[in-house]
Amino acid sequence: MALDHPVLTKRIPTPPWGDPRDRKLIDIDMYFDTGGYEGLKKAMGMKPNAVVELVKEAELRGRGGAGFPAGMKWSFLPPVDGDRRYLAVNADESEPGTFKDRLLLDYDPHLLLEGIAICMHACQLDTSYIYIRGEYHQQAKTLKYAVNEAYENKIFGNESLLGQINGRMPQCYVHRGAGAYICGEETGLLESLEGKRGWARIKPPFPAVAGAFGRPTIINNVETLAMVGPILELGVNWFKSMGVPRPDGIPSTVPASYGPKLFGVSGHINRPGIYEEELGIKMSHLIEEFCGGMRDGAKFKSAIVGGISTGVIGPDDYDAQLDFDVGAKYNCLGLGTAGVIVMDEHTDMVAVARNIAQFFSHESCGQCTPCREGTHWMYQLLSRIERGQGYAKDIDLLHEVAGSMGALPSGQGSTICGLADGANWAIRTIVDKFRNEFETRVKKKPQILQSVESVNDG
Amino acid sequence: MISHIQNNGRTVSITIDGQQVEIPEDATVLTALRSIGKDVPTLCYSDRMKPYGACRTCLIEVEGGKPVAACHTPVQNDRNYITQSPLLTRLRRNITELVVSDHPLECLDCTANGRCDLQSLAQQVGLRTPRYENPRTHNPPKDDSHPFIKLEMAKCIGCAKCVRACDEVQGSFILGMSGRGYDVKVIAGNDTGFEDANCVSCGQCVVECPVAALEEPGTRDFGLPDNTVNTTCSYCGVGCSLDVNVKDGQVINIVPSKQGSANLGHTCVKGRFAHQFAHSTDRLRTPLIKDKSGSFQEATWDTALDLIAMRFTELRENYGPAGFSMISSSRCTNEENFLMQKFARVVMGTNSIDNCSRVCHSPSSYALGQALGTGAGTNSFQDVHYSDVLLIVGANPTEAHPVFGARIKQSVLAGCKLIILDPRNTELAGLSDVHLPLRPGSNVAVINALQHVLIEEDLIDPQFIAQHTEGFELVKKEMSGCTPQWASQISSVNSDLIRQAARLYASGKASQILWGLGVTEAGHGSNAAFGLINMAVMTGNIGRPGPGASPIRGQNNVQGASDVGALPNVFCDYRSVTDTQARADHKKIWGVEPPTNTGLRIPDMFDASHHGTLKGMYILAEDVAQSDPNTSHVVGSLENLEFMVVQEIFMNPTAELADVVLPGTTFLEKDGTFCNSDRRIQRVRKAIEPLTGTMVDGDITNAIARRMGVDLGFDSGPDTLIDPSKIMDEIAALSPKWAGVSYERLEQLGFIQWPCWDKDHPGTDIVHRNGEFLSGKAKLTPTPWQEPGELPDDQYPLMLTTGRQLFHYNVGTMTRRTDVSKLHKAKEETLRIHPKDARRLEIRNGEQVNVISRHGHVCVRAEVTKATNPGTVFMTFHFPESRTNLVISSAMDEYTGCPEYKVNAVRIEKVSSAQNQTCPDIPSASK
Ligand SMILES: Cc1cc2nc3c(=O)[nH]c(=O)nc-3n(C[C@H](O)[C@H](O)[C@H](O)COP(=O)(O)O)c2cc1C
Ligand code: SF4
Ligand code: SF4
Ligand code: SF4
Ligand code: SF4
Ligand code: FES
Repeated sequence: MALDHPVLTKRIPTPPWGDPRDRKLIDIDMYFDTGGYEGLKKAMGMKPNAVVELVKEAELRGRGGAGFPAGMKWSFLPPVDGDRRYLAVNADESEPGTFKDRLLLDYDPHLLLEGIAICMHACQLDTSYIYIRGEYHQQAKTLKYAVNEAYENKIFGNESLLGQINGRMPQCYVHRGAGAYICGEETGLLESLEGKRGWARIKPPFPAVAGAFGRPTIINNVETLAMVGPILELGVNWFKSMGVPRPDGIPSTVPASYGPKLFGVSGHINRPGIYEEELGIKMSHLIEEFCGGMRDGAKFKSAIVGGISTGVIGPDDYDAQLDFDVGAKYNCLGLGTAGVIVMDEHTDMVAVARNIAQFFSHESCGQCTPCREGTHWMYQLLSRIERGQGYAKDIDLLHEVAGSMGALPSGQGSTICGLADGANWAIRTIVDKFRNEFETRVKKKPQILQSVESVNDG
Repeated sequence: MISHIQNNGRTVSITIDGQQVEIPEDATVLTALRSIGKDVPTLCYSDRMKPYGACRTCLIEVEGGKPVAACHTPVQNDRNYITQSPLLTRLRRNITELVVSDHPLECLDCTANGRCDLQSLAQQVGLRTPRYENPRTHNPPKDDSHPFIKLEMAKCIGCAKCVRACDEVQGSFILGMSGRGYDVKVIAGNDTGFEDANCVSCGQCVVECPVAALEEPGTRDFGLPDNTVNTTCSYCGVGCSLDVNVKDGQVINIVPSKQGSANLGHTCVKGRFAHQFAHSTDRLRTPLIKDKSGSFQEATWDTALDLIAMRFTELRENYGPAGFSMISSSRCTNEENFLMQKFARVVMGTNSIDNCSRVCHSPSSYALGQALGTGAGTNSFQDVHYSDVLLIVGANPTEAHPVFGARIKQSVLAGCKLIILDPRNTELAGLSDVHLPLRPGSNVAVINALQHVLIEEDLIDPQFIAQHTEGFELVKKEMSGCTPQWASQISSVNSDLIRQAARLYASGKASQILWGLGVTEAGHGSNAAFGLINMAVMTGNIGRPGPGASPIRGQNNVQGASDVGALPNVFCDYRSVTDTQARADHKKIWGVEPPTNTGLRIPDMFDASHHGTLKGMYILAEDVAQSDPNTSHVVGSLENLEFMVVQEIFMNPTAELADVVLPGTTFLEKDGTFCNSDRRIQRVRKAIEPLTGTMVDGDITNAIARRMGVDLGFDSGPDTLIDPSKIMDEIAALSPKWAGVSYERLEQLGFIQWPCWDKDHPGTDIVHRNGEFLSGKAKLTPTPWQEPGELPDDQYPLMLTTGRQLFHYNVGTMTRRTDVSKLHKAKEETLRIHPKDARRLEIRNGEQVNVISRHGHVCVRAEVTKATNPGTVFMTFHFPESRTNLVISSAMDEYTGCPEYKVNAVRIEKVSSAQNQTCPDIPSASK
């Protein structure tokens, strides 16, 4: 399997089809000239609901991390009531190891804006906010420029070709975040958008029912929305011709892994970067064909498949097939953002775990107990173990504290949001898959020796 | 919190640990399981705030799914919920362990020992020392600087209950969580500390804190109380229900009662913290008799009471009913007020008894009585949660009636529209959709213009008018000329704003009008009240949950004092003293013929004494020499009396003028009832014994009667102590609208709102339901515009208006004897003046100024603030030494004699530095 033509990177030169050095910003004229906004035109010829149905039929799954089917999400909206409804575009991209949305924002912002316009029509959303991470200064500028162009070309604004939605002319705003991972979590994003402290909200109510400013709101990732234009333009069959279909016997309610996907590869490889391929591509293929192989020819040890929240796969999983089933198959959280971090044989997994724990303890919003205190203690325990001062029982405590936090069943529903699930999976999979590395660390300092030492010190 | 959304009555069926439960579909799992007597631990949940879901100790299992937090998860039909399992036990213990891992393990040394939620939880889940053995990293020092809120943030567990209490209950948004992750902490304002963050010291955050991170001095310093007594606050007309904690016969602290129907577990700084006055060392502790030289001598109760009995008898015999009058007290109980008026009518044979509602809300009672058939507000506090538009006129409830003010804020924050008619930029004005900042004294003009717009733009309800009212044509005619443009000239409010306000009011499906002293004490108060009632009636906004027209009554028992007949023209329940049936009923029970002539109103009393016809007075706990308008006139009148008795808890300017001063008691030392602003009769219960040397006020009145040979009929035993429940029975027997009230029922129901027609009647939350007015048809009353008694001119170019401030009460007698006075904002009187005026007069913030009116002058410090508007200045009357009332006019409402406290032309002069920043002498007045 391999993609015939680039889709998301159609206008962004990317190996193997193009040279990254030829990349430049696609302005709206170039976008139009290369078939841009064709999908929107098609969508405008359809009833809103038909567009939702089409996206549903395409089984487009969210590219922001959770892989939730976009069409299904759109269909959860309550019927229109004449009052405001929002689209919040998640451009917070703060998952470590993830930099795919940035590529689209940097070079082809209109691909996103087209998706936004289609979504607004399909879901009857009158206002959209693009919530972009604070550190993306340049991208925010580019985006604002593109939004301006879109207004001038009547995509949004008073003469928008979308016409009135909920009795209002459609608007699109760029809203910059202020630098917190939690603001990428969809409800943390909404709080931040409303000008409040970025804390995740308890659910229900879900954003589709009561989101931004208490009104129905759709939240989608940049890449998810960027995919919508091409689907409208080229059709469901075209989209489903790529990726991994549902295996036989699996009910149709279980979504499959169709379509192209941006993979952001970093770590111990020769050519890190964003590459576009079909879902289901083997990681080994990605590393060897696109990334120029392992750095210094070192041996593969482990990889994080989709941002650190998803956890790691082991040394035997070099050929792991990267689709939405990766979690079930290789015992990790899932495909996440498809931000792959490759680690070679020289990697110290205890240090990796400590580094990840530090991230989560720094980024926990501090609202719920298991995550607020738990991420802190994981970091403390891991620092201790890394320094060689840990005890064997610390490993069990670490495993237990990690394993009992998170909103997903694996975290026993003990937290409000998924940040803790990320901490849980990241730490737990590393400890599970590389337990010996931890054990050798703590074994170096058996308890008895420690107390003798401290007596002597005293 | 009461939400705007009312349950639609649909239920779902679930099972909890196998037990079938039917429960409203919007219930949470926690409410469901508590409804069948089960429980799970909670640290961050509070039943009056929105679920928050942060501590995660309330996890329960859903069969076939993952655990969920019970406190915020809605029930789902057919689900089976499991509250106990090995997994849950482990999770709960682990979570508790995590909380404790950052908490000092010094329970024995902790002031919350024995009443700490975390401690009980640790016990419950069987937690011992946590496994995380690193030292804790957070250890901020204790902060004891605030008089009421003691901080020990090392113990904070980050549940944000305090933050949410401040937001959701008090509506002040003082607190927030700052930092993230492990380092989150509670901060006040921008981490500036409570006081600088504008905290109003309501104490809700302290109530909600589950550990010892936020504590109040009482329990902290004294440990657990011996005894807790439920009673009703004696400060304002909200009538908060309080739990008084007592140890060794002393009040150690007061906390809001969760059962309180008026306050729902809330209080303001006064009810909650301003109670030390009861134990103040300068309480009057012995009767005082003035000797020939004019100085007071201590006397025994026997001597004092005998003297009074003798002099009262002489007065009655020498001068008859015209020579004697009484002022009762809205601070005292219904029973004591009833006793006072019975004393006046039975013992002294006079109807000259009045209470201070004269100086506040008599125009409201009058107008409501005339127009609708009863002199009280139409609705209850809780209705603000059902209103979709509130029109608030001349009231500053967030300062004067803080708990009701907080409920108004809750409603507004939940989406209710708000119109404010007030010269000041009050807190609510800041939250309002339309604010009409009118010139003091121009209420009637603006209210007329509002009526004009309603009629002109056909925003009225013709069907309701036709069916349930009379007099519409007269009103229509009177209002025809009252255009917004016309009102704009008088009030200096933009005419478009007036139109907007009228339209917004009319747009509500449940528009409610509330008014305060700014209506009744601002000249022609009755007409303003009539106008507001007209608006409600014309638009049919009355008689349902939500819409209505109600005054917010000032003091704790002004409603009750009038209800039980401490008025010169009516018996209890506002039955006229000339009404034959009322007279017959009274004669039957009292055994004597009550006097027929209408008695003197308070202002008339002073005039009568001035003219020498009134010779003696008996004043119960009213500092008229200080709180009545035109102080010099009042003082002169009192000095003119032959004999005057004052019952008080502290020496004050009025008592100074008395011949005999009797030491009464505070509400903490007596039994009785108060009737609050929304007609809610609630029990006052004795928490501590009367201080040695003092007597309960009702007992004093009764003892005087006894010594004059009259048995008023309420003795509880052989001594002359009264049994207040017997008095209530007599009130019930003589008042049709209180007929169903008794102590027994009050114990059962907690409170009764009158009208309560018989012993089976539940009381009335909303009067005049469905257009059935107590008066039959509502009377629409034309309200012609008249200039106020006081107008500015070249010499007195500014308008002074007076009012209350949150931290004090009336003349500050009580509040200023408590730690409340340690708060910055409660330290001294200031003249609040807009920067524009200040600049013109070259007055700087904090400078001494002279406030000069046509009636007198006072000297205070200027506070330059945008809380007032240009042209208007503001003072309170909480600080006797600044004697605000010296500058107040003696103009009165034409119908009720209510003084125009709020409208005074003044000029402001800088006190020159030559006078060395001290004030020049104040002429007259003080003696
Ligand atoms: C802690 C946390 C951080 C997240 N950060 C991001 C992010 O930066 N960008 C993003 O698109 N989604 C992020 N998500 C996922 C969003 O919550 C949400 O699922 C996504 O925006 C939905 O869009 P999609 O359905 O198009 O993927 C995050 C989730 C969690 C729990
Ligand atoms: S899981 Fe962590 S990040 Fe999410 S709400 Fe709880 S404390 Fe905040
Ligand atoms: S005392 Fe009241 S106003 Fe002050 S912070 Fe606490 S809740 Fe808020
Ligand atoms: S101060 Fe008390 S109420 Fe506030 S967050 Fe801390 S523990 Fe909770
Ligand atoms: S003064 Fe009023 S608001 Fe404050 S506690 Fe007392 S009754 Fe309540
Ligand atoms: S009580 Fe439910 S999460 Fe705290």
